Amino acid sequence: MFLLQATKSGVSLILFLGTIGMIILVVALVIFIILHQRRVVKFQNKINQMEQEQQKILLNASIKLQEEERQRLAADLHDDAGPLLATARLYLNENLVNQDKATQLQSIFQARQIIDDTILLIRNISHSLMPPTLKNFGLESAVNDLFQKISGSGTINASSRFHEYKDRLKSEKELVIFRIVQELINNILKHSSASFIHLTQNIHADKFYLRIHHDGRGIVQSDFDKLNKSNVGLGLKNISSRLRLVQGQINFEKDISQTYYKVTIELPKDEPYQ
Amino acid sequence: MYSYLLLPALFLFNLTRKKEIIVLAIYGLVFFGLLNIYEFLPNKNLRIVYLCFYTFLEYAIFAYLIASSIRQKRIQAFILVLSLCFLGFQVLYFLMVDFKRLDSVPIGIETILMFIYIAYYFYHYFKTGTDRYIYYAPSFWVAIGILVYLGGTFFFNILVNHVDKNQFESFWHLTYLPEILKNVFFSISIFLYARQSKNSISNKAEKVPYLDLI
Repeated sequence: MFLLQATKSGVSLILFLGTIGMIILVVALVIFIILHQRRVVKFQNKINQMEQEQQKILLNASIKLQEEERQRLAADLHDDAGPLLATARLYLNENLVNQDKATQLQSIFQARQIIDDTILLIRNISHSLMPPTLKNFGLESAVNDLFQKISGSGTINASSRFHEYKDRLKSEKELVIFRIVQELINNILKHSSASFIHLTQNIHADKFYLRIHHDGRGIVQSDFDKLNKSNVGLGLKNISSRLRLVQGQINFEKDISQTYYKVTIELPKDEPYQ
Repeated sequence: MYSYLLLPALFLFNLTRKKEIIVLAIYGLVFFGLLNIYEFLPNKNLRIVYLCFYTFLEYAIFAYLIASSIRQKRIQAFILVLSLCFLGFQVLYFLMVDFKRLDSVPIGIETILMFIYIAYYFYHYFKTGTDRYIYYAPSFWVAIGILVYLGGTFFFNILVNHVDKNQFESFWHLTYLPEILKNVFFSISIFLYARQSKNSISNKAEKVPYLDLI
């Protein structure tokens, strides 16, 4: 109403200033939108690039690890199973029929021994690929079994305790967790010179927790993040990619007493295993 | 006035069947014609009908262009409902109010409605988080064109019935600038729409390899 009641010169002024003001406002708005969007796009592109690089590193690590595993398998089969079977064949060659009965029995017995050894070897290889305890009795038994074997060697004191694991996780999830535990234990045995390892499990508010304590040399979260972004630390990258698969998280830290290192794995607890 | 011819000229130059380009070309052609016939209208009643029609057609085209860029069925339906309300209001205004030069109130409402649509368009654009710069989007130039045009002429359109003839004559020319700017921005959008359309055609062609034996 004020605009409409203004004098003749006042209306002219309002009209002129209003029009100029509106144009300036629109131009300012356009500049702001363009600049703001440019900044957002640049930031988004940077994040995408970083994610791609991280994915690439993880993928490379997992491929490399898979190749190493295949090489190990090939070496086991070629170096151990191959010669054993060749030796068994030697005992059972054609000349066996021309020999006396005692020698024949001796050769057959030797061949049987070798075949038994080969069966055991192949079973060990197969167990290293997929632990039967894990498949048949679950994560708790497989982890306890692994820790008993480590402790049985006598060089290190290893123990594990599952506080609440009545409802098993899905078998795929159990396998992923078991592989992560194997990798962590392997690292501790290789690099930490620890005298004891202890694993505890618990459940809290729909989350599954696993914690490994050890008294050797360890790493903290910043070291883990650094190694994850670098070209070394294949095992740790593999842990990261496996955790991503089960939407889990891992945290490396030092105990408040500064005596132990702790590795905590946290993942969502899904519906009970059927 | 001749800047409106830029739009059909660019359409003929690009010759793509994209809906938005066709709408913009028709807009340029129709409004060039409408602006030319105004002087020849014989009586006031016809001029009033002409002005109401001009405002609604302009609003309808702008609303269509913005709604087609939002691509959300619910919002498009909402714009359609508001447009029908606006049409109803214009009919009432036409029947009940006698205006001197321009239908200021419907133009004011048109401006406010378009500002709301454009604000939502920008909100939607940022929300969908596209990784392309906004000035590569043809709809951005359409929105900017509408903003500059309606913003630049807003005060003139509101106060036009309250100024004398001399003031009207001197300020009328001031509206040319936003009008020309709008047509230039619309031309940029035609150019970008055509490029987008060509790119999508060439992308489709690249996806299917040459499979014939000969």
